[in-house]
Amino acid sequence: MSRALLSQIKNDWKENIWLVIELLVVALIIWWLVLNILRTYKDSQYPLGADIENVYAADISYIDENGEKWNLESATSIEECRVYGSGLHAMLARIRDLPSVESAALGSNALPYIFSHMGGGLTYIDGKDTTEVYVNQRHMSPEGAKVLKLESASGLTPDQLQKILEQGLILFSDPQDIDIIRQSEKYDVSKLIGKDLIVNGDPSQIVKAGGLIKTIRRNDYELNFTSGTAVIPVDEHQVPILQMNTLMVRVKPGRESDFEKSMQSEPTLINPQRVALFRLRPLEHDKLLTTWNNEVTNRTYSAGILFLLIIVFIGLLGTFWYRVYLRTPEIAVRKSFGATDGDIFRRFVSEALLLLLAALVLAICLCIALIDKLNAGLLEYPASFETWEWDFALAGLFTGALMALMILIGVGIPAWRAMKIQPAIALKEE
Amino acid sequence: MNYIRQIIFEMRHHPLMTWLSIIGTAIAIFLIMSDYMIANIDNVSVSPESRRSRIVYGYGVDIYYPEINGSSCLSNQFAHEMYDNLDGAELISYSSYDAFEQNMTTKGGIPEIRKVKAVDENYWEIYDYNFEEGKPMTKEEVESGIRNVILTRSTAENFFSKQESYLGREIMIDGKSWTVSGIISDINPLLDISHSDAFISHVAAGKLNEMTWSPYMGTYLPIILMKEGVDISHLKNQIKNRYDAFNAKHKSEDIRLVYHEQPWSIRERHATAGTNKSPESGGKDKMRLIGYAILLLVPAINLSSMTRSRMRQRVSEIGLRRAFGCTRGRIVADLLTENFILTLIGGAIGLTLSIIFITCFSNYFISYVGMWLNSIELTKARPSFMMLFSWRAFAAIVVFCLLLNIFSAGIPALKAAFTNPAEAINGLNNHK
Repeated sequence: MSRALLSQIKNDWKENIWLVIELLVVALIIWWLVLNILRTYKDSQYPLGADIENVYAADISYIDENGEKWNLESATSIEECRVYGSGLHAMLARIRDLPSVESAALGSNALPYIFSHMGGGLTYIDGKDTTEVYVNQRHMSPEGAKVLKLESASGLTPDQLQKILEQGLILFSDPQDIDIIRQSEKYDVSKLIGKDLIVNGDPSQIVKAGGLIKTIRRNDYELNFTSGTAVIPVDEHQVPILQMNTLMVRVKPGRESDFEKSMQSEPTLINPQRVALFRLRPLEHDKLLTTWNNEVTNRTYSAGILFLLIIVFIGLLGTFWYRVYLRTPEIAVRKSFGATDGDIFRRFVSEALLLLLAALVLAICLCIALIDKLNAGLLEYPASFETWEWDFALAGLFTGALMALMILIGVGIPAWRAMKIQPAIALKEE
Repeated sequence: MNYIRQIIFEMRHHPLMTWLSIIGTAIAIFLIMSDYMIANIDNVSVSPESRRSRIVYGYGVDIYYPEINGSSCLSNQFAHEMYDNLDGAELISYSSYDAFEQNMTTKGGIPEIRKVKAVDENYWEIYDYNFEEGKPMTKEEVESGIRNVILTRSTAENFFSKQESYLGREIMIDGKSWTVSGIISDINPLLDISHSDAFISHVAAGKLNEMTWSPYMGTYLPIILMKEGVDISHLKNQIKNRYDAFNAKHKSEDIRLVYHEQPWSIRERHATAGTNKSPESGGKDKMRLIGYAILLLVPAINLSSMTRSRMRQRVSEIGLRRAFGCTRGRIVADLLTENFILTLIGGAIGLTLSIIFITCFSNYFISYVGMWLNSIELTKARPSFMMLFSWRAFAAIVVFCLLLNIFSAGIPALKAAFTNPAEAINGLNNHK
């Protein structure tokens, strides 16, 4: 770095201070936006725990003799339950028989992309030691493992997971899968497999653990900090199946429109005896709706970065265009003393990059000094500096690279103009 | 007129600087106005929510029992208990808090998912729907439980072949037959509380999914039209007192309501997720103002630098004017006025761009924190031009331009005005 360059920066110190302030403010904002996008992206990379492609869902309601929708809890007689159960089984059998359908099941709080949370504990008592795993309880008939293609944590296929559920055993996940706070505990939950577990602290509710799956998340962007998942099987031939309020269907790939046509063309599929299906929709719709606000945030942040970069570009272009104008005689003299076009170009670009460097150093100092306040006040999920230091650094590097690129373009144009100055003409005009 | 001539002169002689100033201003104003207008959709009064500033909502009940707690909208009975006979209320409607998706079809036709809202008779007086056919439901009609339905124009056109009138025709909702008694103009989905495809009597709708474990919880939303001149705080105080009275009455049972500053304005409702929180719009407004300040400050630094550049080139002209007796105040005022006109040109371009952007793409940037985002249709909703067109927006653009002008041209204009006339005329522009 030449002393002349530093002198030149010093000579324009008033303007340069404003430029550094501008670059500092923009760098801080872009850094924060990039950090949030990066963290959101990383959150979205955790497995969903299920595959929703080609899956349809519908709400189930029960209809009384007067054609009124019923809340099943209001059913008062065994006979009523029997009638509803019969309608439900008939509907399920007919849907499974459709050529376009691969598998179908019933569930309650079973699907991803709904924000219900049936939180509860699974407790294992071994002598004096008690282990409790906090889970979101998802009830489904065994074929649900195939419909949702549940992800095993031990390499089992959905068919094998279905068999475990058919034996009345539960599947559960390790909350530490996605619980970044508890990951340090490193408790091996696999040793609970085959053990009797107490549900919700009620000793009359005992289930046996049959296998480990990955946590079924509620949303691509939500890290559920406290809950794993328990898939609790519901026998299709027992009364509790009536409490399942959701039909889920996996359709064969490429047969979606056939399935939709079948459901629409046969009203008895939608409204079989005393049971009615509502809101039949691809699960992708639920995904779109439940991730919408996150997507909007990402888009807004990205647009913010783009426009801030454009504003910086315009500012640098204008400022350095004028500097070239002011320094025309100086450039002419330098060229007449042997400076090459490259020297002239590098001088302007280096000047701007040095200013950016100064702004970035200030930004780093400010960020480190204010990290706790930034975390608590600005970030959606506060985290310690130690936890996020790599994201923080990565976002900073990306920000620096983006702004350097903008400077190369914004300053490069006037610097290129400076290169083209003809010394003789410039000096004559002067 | 001289100002305009001066600007035209600048455009001819310093085109890059002048255009960069205009483009920089346009981008800043575009960003601010896009955000401002999207946020301002909550404040816009358009049919059927023409009296939006006077409509408030008794949204939610947050209740604690000894072993359990929960929050939701209110049951019909509890809504009446808490919101009947409010001083300052002109009308109160008790309707479903949202339009629910239902299967809708003509007899033997293919069912489609449509939104249906259950309402009472006051609902039609609070909101001014445009009836193309038929009329609003009367009290007798609502209370009789007769299965009449009011459809939007596009819903009717979707299900029925075109005839002279849609009135009296039958449509299946929720597996039951309903008679069309009115046709209203379509409603923008962004007006989420008044938007629906079909409206039925809340009595005819039957059980609106009351919570079986709590007599206080359900799906009703008290919608209150305040009298002219009444402040929302007057209603909030009354509801707060009713909450206190309820808690005192049920203290022995250990049942407690948590007051969350109900009733809410539409802005408070849209800024608040769920029924167990107090409105958060104040904090968001503060963040928004900080955002605007940054969005003004960054381009202002840019523009200031460019304005200084333009001023430097005019320093001898300024020196000459000072030598002929022009006051410093006059020079500052002239330079600020010139710059303000330039800023307004940029502002007008920015405003035009933001209106085009919002009407074409804003759905990708509207989030629904407090709204019940339950249909794909809402993700495609964009405000109409009438929802964007407001005097408030025009006032905002002038204020933002004025601020940008003062930020960017204030210091350069002052420096120019304080330049020594003799040195300025000699070209010694010592205000570097």
